[in-house]
Amino acid sequence: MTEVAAALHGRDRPSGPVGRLVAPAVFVASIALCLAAAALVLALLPSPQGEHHTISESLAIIGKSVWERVLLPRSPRVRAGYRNWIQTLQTATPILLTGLAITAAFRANVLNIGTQGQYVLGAIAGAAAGIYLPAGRGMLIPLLLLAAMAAGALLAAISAALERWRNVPVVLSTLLLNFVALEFLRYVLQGPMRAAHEDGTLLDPQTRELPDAARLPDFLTQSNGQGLHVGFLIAVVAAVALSFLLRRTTFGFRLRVVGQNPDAARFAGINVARVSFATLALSGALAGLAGAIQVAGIPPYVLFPDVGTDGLGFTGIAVALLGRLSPVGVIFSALFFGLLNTAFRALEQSPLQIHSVAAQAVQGMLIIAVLVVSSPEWGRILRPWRPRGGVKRG
Amino acid sequence: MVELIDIRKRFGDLIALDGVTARFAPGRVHGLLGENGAGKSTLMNVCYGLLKPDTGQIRANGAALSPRSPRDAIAAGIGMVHQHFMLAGAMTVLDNVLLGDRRAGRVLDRRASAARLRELAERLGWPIDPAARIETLSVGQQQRIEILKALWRDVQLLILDEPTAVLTPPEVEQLFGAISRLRDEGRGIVFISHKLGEIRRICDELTVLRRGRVEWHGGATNVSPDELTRHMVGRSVEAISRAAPGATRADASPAALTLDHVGANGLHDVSLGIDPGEILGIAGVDGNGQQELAEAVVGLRRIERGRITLGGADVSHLPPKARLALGVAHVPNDRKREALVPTMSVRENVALKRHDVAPLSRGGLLSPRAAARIARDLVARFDVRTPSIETPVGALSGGNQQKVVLARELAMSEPRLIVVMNPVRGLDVAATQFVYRQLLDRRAAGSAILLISTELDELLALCDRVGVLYGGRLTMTGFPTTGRDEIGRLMAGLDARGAA
Repeated sequence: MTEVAAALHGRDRPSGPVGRLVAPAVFVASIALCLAAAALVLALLPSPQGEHHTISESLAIIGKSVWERVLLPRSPRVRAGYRNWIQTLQTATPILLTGLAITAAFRANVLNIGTQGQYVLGAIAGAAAGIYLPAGRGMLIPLLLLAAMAAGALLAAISAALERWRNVPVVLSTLLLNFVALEFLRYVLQGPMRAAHEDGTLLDPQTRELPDAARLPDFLTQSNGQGLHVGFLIAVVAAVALSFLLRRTTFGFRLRVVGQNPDAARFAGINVARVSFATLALSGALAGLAGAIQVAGIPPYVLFPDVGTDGLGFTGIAVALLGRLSPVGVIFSALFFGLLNTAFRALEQSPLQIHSVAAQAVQGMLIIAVLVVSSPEWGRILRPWRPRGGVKRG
Repeated sequence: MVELIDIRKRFGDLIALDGVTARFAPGRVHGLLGENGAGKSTLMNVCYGLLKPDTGQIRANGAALSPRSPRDAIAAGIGMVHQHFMLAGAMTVLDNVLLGDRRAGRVLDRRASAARLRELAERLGWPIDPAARIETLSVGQQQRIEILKALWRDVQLLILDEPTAVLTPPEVEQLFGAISRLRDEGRGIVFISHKLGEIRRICDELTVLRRGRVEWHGGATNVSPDELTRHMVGRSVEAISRAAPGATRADASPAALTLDHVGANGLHDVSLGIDPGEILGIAGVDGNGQQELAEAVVGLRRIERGRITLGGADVSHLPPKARLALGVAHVPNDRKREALVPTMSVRENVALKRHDVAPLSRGGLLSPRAAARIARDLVARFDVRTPSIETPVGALSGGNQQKVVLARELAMSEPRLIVVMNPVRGLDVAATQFVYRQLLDRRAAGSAILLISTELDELLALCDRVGVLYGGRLTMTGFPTTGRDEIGRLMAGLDARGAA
């Protein structure tokens, strides 16, 4: 277990100009292959209407829908402007943040698999701050984002403390606290934060709408009023900041050393327990931020129970692994996941009417396939093509 | 009769076995002696099928044997009890004995097996409970289970790797009783140990290994402890050009390092002092408190009693970082695990210990440019053979890795004290000479050096004074006026005159 990060990550960074290019090139090629395979599987599914399409017809429909409804910025027929891409980027936002949360933790070999719970707690704290804090426009958004980060960090810090003082493995406590966070969400939505009608009767378990001052502003707004909320920009900035932290700060250096060789870290005078603690808090804060952005960024700006079960915290693990635990890589892998998501929505509306359940199954298989292809084992097979760093025997 | 004929085994540059021939006869206890790294364990692992020899032959009762796993060795009648037991703690004695026994079949007849096991144990004078769980047994009892496990498979040759290291004196007596009985049954025993007193008591014949060769072979009765010690540690001192004595020091200047009755986990009442410009050597067989001593000095191990001072200042309870700031350099025992991060670059490994102070960082931000400048300079000065400073340090050879460690520890500042443990382990001759030169240069520049090593030759050639660690206790020797034989005896747990 101690070398999970090292095993996942291989080495800290590929070396040499060719090494830097070969890996991503192979990676992109394998994703393309996986997509082609997925398209073939979808094409073989029978249409629910009983209409018969040949495989080539099906493939053509899939290609056309994906092109027109997902990839094309301005479709002449859909007339939705950037809508497709807004959808994609919006979907990518929370998983980019939870992916970064996993990246930070795994790079330090801290197995935080509680991003789902930290994300839920962040959503609760963000909603509470947005609804109950009296602060005016301009202050409320930063406050609610900070509250969410603090909540996520706090939940993660419980796990860190349990490991440090009670020897409870982080992987266990973070996993179990996910359930605690989920039940806490159910509790606040049934009880203290549940919204009521004017006449006092209760709504379904959900909060009331966040006030305007707490809603993330949109940009790239379309004629239909839909736009992309600034949460996406916040997530991209977070990715760049995490990349900078890992590469250029002393804390990031310690984090990587602890992840790659905790013994050497200890012998170098690094306080390993403190670094793990801080890393876990940072990871929880990023996951919490994702929760608040989902609530404050997406209409109708209400905290629903489905936040607890949407799995976006867990998806962060897949996103981070696909991004090979590099913050910039995670941006691309989150975008890829976002694209997949919009693609399957488009296929649902296409003449093939591929059901969303089939879509999810294919999505799952695709993720597994991509993870297998991007695993360190493949890296090892590819190694002969990379320049070997090392003059032996000096 | 098991014969090992002209066995050779290399690990990379290191020749572990250089044409070793040994014969283990039935009904004899054969003692195998040698320093750490002499090749004892390698030889026995070859015999037990854990390692494949490069050349050479293994014969069991005249038939050629090439064991590819312990299973093959056991089938040929060779069993081994390792220093670290291979038992499943949560399972019972009987389960552990039956584990992996192919003759047991698919359905276990526990009752019959338990009766047979009890009978076998009683024959050796060891009453046991086959239903007891391993983790409830003492270390001595667990060792008996290991031996029973081998005998259950009816091995004719039993290899015991330092069996007495973990036993109390009464347990040793019982073990020796069992060994005698096995010998009387006509089985052969290979007994590996460092303790000369024991070896001479229990063994019929002895083989001394030194640097992968058989140094001496003969009967156990007609050899003195002194002679054995000499065979083990050798006579020849390699010519290492010794620099002039260290920089002259004013008598008023405080000792660079003192330990005053220091007690910690694994250390008992250790006192020592090193002056600037002096090399103090610590001899001893691995596992007698060397790692603990190094960790206590650099601050990685909490001390329970006593006092440690650096240049006169009390540092007994300062963390490693604070001692580093006071000028403590450390070249640890295991460079890949403790000193380096193999997946990170030469540049980052050079920066490892000082990444958070100027010029390597300012205000929490790293300065890769300064790190690169320093790394390039050190790579040139220490002649580290690396394609670039961005190469992962794990891709370098052992010697070059050690140069990176030395460069970081010795050249980035003026260390007041250097703690060095087995600095040339696994290095070739050229790299070894380089390491020694660096240490002597630092001595000439006035650093105090604590050199902990299992290589007696190295200590005698480099050190101003030598102490011996045995069982966590330090005995200072009269070196250089007293010699290698006395040190060898202390390492073997005898007192200086040679009594057990």
